[in-house]
Amino acid sequence: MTERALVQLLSGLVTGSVYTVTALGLTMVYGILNLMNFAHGEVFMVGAYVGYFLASTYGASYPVAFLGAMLGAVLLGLLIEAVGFRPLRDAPQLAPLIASLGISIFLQNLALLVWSPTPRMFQTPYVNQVVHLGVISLSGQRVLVFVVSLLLIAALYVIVQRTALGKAMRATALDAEAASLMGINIRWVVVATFALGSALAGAAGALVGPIVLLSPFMGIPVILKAFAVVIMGGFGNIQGTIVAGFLLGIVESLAALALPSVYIDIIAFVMLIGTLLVRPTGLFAEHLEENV
Amino acid sequence: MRSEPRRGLSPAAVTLGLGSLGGALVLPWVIGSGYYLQLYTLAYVNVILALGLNIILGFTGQLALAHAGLFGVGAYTSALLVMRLGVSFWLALPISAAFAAVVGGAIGVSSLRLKGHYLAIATAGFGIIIYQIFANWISLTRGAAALSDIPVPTPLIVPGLVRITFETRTAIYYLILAATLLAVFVIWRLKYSRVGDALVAIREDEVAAEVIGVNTFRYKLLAFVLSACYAGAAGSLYAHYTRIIAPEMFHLFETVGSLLMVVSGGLGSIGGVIATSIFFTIAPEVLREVKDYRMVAYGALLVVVMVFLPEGVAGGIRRVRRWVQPRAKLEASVGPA
Repeated sequence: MTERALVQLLSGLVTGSVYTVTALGLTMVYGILNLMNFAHGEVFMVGAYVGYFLASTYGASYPVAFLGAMLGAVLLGLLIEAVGFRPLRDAPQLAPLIASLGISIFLQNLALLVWSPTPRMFQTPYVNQVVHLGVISLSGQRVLVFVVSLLLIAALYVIVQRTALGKAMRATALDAEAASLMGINIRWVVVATFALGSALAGAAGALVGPIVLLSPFMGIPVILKAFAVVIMGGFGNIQGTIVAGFLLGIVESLAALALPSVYIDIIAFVMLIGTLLVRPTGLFAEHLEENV
Repeated sequence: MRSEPRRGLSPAAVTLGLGSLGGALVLPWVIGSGYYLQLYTLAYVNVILALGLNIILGFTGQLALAHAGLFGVGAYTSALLVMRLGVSFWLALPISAAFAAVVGGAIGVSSLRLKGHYLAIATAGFGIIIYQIFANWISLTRGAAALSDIPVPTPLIVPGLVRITFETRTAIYYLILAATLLAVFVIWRLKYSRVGDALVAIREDEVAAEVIGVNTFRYKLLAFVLSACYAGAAGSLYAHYTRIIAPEMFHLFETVGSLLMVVSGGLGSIGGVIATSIFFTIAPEVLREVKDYRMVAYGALLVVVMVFLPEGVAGGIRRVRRWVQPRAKLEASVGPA
């Protein structure tokens, strides 16, 4: 029993790392633009497909496919920003929200037409390797997901906290008008934020692709869970998002010991709605009055 | 999103409305009782559904995404009441509308304190949960195997006066047309009532509405319950019309159809939303080639409408009229601000 619980705990850390990487992109965009991007899940999906095609059709090695997926995701993210967000900068908040939902539906169904609904298997050399950790063993790909996710999270943290770009992003999130008066080019900050967030989503897609089956709708559960993580973490709060992402992954995995799998996907919403009711500013709120 | 310039209806709007009503009444004689009549019947169900979403999204400005789920609550409640408990359709219809309203109220209580994106995500979560219940409570809903052979509405009997049966497609067409007219009438009265004013005030500026004494939570909840009630009634009519329902029909992303109908018609517009609901039901079926691309087009159109026509066709027509009308006449028709 304890052994199984330990396996689930580790598997929860792996899933949690993916939720975190995906949610970080969302929460960063929220921090800058005060907007939720429904199409972020499709950036994840396209990342997975780009990685898959690079590896299977063009025979690229996994690291190349991984970088290609990130690049493809960045291009898609920038396109989404240019088409759905930039023209609606000054519109009421409802407009970009609906537009991003439209982009999300558009991309899902375009992928359905172009790539067919047939689920695809993304093979990497690491899927069938087994890594032994004491009494338990994990597939190499899962270990890779966890390690690379941690590196990505660390890299993002360094960018946001230590670089000039990160400083500009934090300033814009705090007060866009004041930041622009200080000479920060808000448009470039927005573009850079979309690029960074999309790169993370694409990376998550290429990492998880080999564990799950690829389908045009694979972004839906991921985006909804990422939303839950963003809200639990407190919109725009990067540390909170990291904690909440791992928390959701672990809770889901441990719940799988006791609950039938149908209910697992509902856990995120129960946690989400619970958070909204009890602490609507997130579990780790900094600015209480700002979010609600 | 500007508020309506004036109350009441222009002669052009009255003519158009009465013309459309006349057209709807004689439609079965014009196009027969075949495929196209079925399409129009379905279009009217979509009108009720979209008008319901218009109350919460168009009037009140709250993006609630559980609409397709609430549509399903109405459909399953009605079908199961009739099939399992032998309840008459005429009782099942109001019960399912009321039950959807109760479910909507429960969702509203737990999520309407939240603004914009919070509300969208929380209601999307509820939409998913409702879908999961339909898909997995197999002993009740038969899950993905679909609930089929739902009976048509039982005959409407007023003793000694009339006995109307609903065996034919034409009879059901008129039944759903009547329900749609009732739905249009109620939402029209709502729009030009004090409640309607309060809802629009919330949409325009929630804080300001609160300051001038609008209990925003109560009005938002009312809008949500009414919206759910419309969805539930539409669901009941839909179930007994198509006679087969499956969880997929009420998936979260089916809300997108209604969403497109509301935003392209014009948030808060009644005539515009009726027109776009009918258009977006019939167009994909008529243009067979685009049918496969329906959802791709829906997604793209949502973006196009938000960017280029944020007030929908209703706002577009207003804008065109403002251009073509001579300045003096315009001011006379709009009146002092």
